[in-house]
Amino acid sequence: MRDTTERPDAVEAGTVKLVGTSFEKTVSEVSELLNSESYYQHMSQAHNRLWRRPGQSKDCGLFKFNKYRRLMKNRVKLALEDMLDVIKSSQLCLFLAWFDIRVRYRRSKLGPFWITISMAIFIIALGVVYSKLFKMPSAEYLPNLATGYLFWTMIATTLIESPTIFIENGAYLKDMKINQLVFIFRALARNTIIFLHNAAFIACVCIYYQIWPKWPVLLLIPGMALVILNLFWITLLFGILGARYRDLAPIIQSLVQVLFFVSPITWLPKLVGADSWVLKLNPITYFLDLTRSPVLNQTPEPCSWIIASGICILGLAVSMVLYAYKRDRIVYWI
Amino acid sequence: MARISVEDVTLYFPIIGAGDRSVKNTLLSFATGGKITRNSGTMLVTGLDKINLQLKDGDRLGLIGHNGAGKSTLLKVLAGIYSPTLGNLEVEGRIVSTLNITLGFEHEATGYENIYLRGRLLGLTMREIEARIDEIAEFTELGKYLDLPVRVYSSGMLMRLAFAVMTSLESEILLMDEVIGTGDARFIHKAEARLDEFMNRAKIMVIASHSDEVIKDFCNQALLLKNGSIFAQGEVDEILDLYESDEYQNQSELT
Repeated sequence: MRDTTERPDAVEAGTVKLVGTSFEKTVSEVSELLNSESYYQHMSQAHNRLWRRPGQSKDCGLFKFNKYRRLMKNRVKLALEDMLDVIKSSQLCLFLAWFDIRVRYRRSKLGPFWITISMAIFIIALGVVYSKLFKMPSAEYLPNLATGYLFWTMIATTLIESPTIFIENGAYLKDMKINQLVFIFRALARNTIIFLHNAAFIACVCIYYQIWPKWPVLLLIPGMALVILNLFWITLLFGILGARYRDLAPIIQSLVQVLFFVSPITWLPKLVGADSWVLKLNPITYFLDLTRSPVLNQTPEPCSWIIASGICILGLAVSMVLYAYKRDRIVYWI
Repeated sequence: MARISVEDVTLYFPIIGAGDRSVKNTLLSFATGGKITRNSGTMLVTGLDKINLQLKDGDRLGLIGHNGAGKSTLLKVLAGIYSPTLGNLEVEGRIVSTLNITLGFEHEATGYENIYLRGRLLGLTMREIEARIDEIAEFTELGKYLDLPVRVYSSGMLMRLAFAVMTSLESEILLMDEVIGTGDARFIHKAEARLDEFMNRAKIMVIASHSDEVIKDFCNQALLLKNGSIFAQGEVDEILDLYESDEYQNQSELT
């Protein structure tokens, strides 16, 4: 034993420690190293003071599994606490959503109705031409197109906004401690309000074609709820990935365009045959069935409920685990 | 009763290489075994290194150090924006942090709307904001401008607005990065009085500043940081002297 070392750089880095010749000091240092996990972690991770590449023996065997399990448990707990907290602060999310809507429509004189009107013109024009193309009575085609297109708009807007959701709110996230899920609920609430507002046009179409609400309309409430829950996990998942990978936003954007054409929005499911794989493999089909059918007094297929719930449970699990694992990283990425 | 307890807090920043910010590149490098993409790999930079700090009621701590010493990072950790990679952090008390005071304005919204927005985000209820909105509006002296969108405001006007909202809050723990000094002389004078009052209400205060005067005026202890770790802690005057000394300055190049 001695008081000097030929490796001063390692002492400097903290991976070894010069404890000297004293018996007590040696015993106390070694036993602390053996007993205190954090001290051990600290020493074993300290190998380079300023720069470290990942994969450089981050964990050294023994404590790896236990430490990992405990860490994960703690993170899942924090993520679930965020979830509870966002439900408690739903008033704040609604306030922010209203705020967005007020600000967004401020600059156009006709306000929000301008968007509804332009959408209505698009749907009527498309409806007239396509019902002739498909040789269908417009009384059947137009209500389907109108409801389908408006629900699709809500889904598509949410999808397109999702990869940039944390980036756009970066100013807040970097300046104050704030529940990140608030911004996801803000976007969902905003898009739902815009949809409800556009729904005035659906009402006009239904009145024009004399479709009066019957009891299946009530199924719209659970149907909408299930679709929104699905949109929640999608936004969370894409939001986290989009903050990390910056080219996700353009990828999603082109994907949404493709989805529009392969989903039964401008065409009806029966045109391709109800059991076509084009419909079966597309989750949007089920989302549309759950929301569009009740409005038109049809009962959604039981398999739509089952598959949409299945996707929802799976998606929520995946995105919540990802959120639990990466929630404190997001702020470094944006 | 407010309390801050920082034990052995270490923070690593992940710095992601440009090549790693793309799905396409990541997939490509996965498919080719990393032969094609360059600039990839995540570096970890030590932002804070084994920080220990205990603060209790009445403590006014000034953070001093060269650029990149970790002042702002420490404030962000205390504010809960960054979570420590290692170590323990316990904070009791309502925190108000103003790290970048003019961030987070909605440019299309009016001044009044932004007061509500900030207030809500900082945790006030609608009723609480309504109770103090007149006082806030009066303090800003912006008058009719408050009905205009904030995109037409000058930076000084934005600062007044942000400052007025921030100082109307009740905080137990106040964290500030570079105390504000903008606007015309008369407003600064007025702001100082309000700032004093605001700071006196806080039980614990931590400010980071490059200005000796600010630290001397507001703090009763100081912490000198170097390359992410604590260089010295103690009386304000001693620490300020140490900051100027060769012992600190010579060693403070970024390594």
